[in-house]
Amino acid sequence: MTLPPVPRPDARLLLVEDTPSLQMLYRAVLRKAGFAPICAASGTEALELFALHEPQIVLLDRMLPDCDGFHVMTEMLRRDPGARIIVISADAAIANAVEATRRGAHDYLVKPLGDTRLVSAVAGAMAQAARERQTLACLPAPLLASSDGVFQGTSPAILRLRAQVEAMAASGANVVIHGDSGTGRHACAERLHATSSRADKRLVTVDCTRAGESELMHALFGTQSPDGPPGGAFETARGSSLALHEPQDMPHGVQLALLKRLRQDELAHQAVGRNGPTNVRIISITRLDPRSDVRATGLDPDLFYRLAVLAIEMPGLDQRREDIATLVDNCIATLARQEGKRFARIAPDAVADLSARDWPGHLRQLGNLLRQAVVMHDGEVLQAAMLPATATDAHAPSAAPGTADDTIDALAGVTLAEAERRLIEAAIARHDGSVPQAARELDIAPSTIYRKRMVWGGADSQGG
Amino acid sequence: MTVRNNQERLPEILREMGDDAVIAALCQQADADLSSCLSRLTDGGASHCEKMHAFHEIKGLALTLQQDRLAALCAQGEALCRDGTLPRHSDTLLADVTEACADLRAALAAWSGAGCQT
Repeated sequence: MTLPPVPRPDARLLLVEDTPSLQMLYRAVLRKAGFAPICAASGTEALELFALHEPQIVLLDRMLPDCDGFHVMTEMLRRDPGARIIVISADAAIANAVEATRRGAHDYLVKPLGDTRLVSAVAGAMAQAARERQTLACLPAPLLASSDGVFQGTSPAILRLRAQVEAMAASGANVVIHGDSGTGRHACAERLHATSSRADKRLVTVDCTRAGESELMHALFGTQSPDGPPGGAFETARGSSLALHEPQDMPHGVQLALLKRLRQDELAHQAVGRNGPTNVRIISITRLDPRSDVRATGLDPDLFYRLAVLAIEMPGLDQRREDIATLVDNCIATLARQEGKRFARIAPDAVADLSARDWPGHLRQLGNLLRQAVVMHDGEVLQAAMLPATATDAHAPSAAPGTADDTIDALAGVTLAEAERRLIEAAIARHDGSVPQAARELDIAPSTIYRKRMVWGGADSQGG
Repeated sequence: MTVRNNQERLPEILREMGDDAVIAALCQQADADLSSCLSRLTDGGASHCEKMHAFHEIKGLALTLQQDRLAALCAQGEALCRDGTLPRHSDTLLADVTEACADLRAALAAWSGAGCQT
């Protein structure tokens, strides 16, 4: 049975098969099912087309004239870990299928391929890719706390931070980045790494707050001991940077193991006059101020002084209030795009409102509040009236700071039913008469509003 | 050797094509591929690697076109290439592969020329 053709204009599919007749056959089957595959006959051609078209799905013959299909797959996954590679092979050995999966193949098809099997494998991979894209689109991007976001602005605090990062990027010494959560500490670590000589390798991150001693030992060293065979984050970060989140939360045993590894590197460095065998730059991200009493940090003092060679203090948003206008202006369009809204800019009164507020949650709190406003409203310009009182108060009526109490005062002596009516009618008015949008803002069913309006209408007619 | 030119003998994947012109083009291309692979197998100058790849290509075609004997012979050829023992067995094996290929090429000609009509 052949699957019915489904037009997939946006589906990018690369077919890699060196036997011309088989390539022709698979292409015909896929076209009949509604796909428009791009075709390659060798590993080299496949990698060129992969770079050019960035396909979501690759049907890849295992044995190619110029190289092993597994090599091509590894290279493709290195370039785009989200690509789905379906390996086609004439070899039914389970070991090969296992090896393909271990190397990251999405599926392993053994010849002879029926048209149903071929099409369903591609359609399945395509559907999964689409679901993941959807999920990713739903994830709130850090925006303001991203590497680009944090460093925007011209306040003295941010200019000082940029200068510090630039100077420290040139050094290989361990760094402590300290400050409140939400100030963009991880983004700072990313920038520090990205502008260093280690940037050609990826920044490896370990969260020291989320694991027990044995798990953390394994995460860092790949074994239960720093003397075991190399592995874990330390090995992955060889020649690169290792970001440790809240290292003071590491169990004491792990702290000692880390200290031992750092000492080994120091000794090797002293002995041969060059970087130690691990050669990892550690960037510690912590809420603790390294200038405070070492004993109070929870870190072994020996380890503390090895980690806190250099220090960066992340400024809070209250120290860079003048950057808020730039920060929100630069992110509003991106936020709107992520949420499927039209907002292109933010009104000056809204900027003034945001600049006047307190931000204990710093960039993260500001980003959350903006997202909430974008999710709840639509239009070209984000107005002050659209801003919620707080980022977490999802259902509060929009109001400028200082007016919330006034609004409540204005309701003094009003019955609860009347207050509810005013609230609902105000929401409907804010949405140009749209009951469904008002209902969404108020988190109630549209039918509730219609029902209440019927009651109000009846009361009005009776009264009038 | 007799080729029964009917729907039942047409491999499933070709049968599902449903378009005689497409089937004919595929059969002609498959014939050309078989011819090219056989040339490499009989070429004294071809390396083991090239011969193994030729066996592999024929095996892929044979599996797809449901030619079990040819696929088995090519799998044997691949294994001999991998072991480096092909020269000791090449005459017998190549004769068998050539014969099985001839059967397949005759079938392809029949499928191509007469479409898939019974």
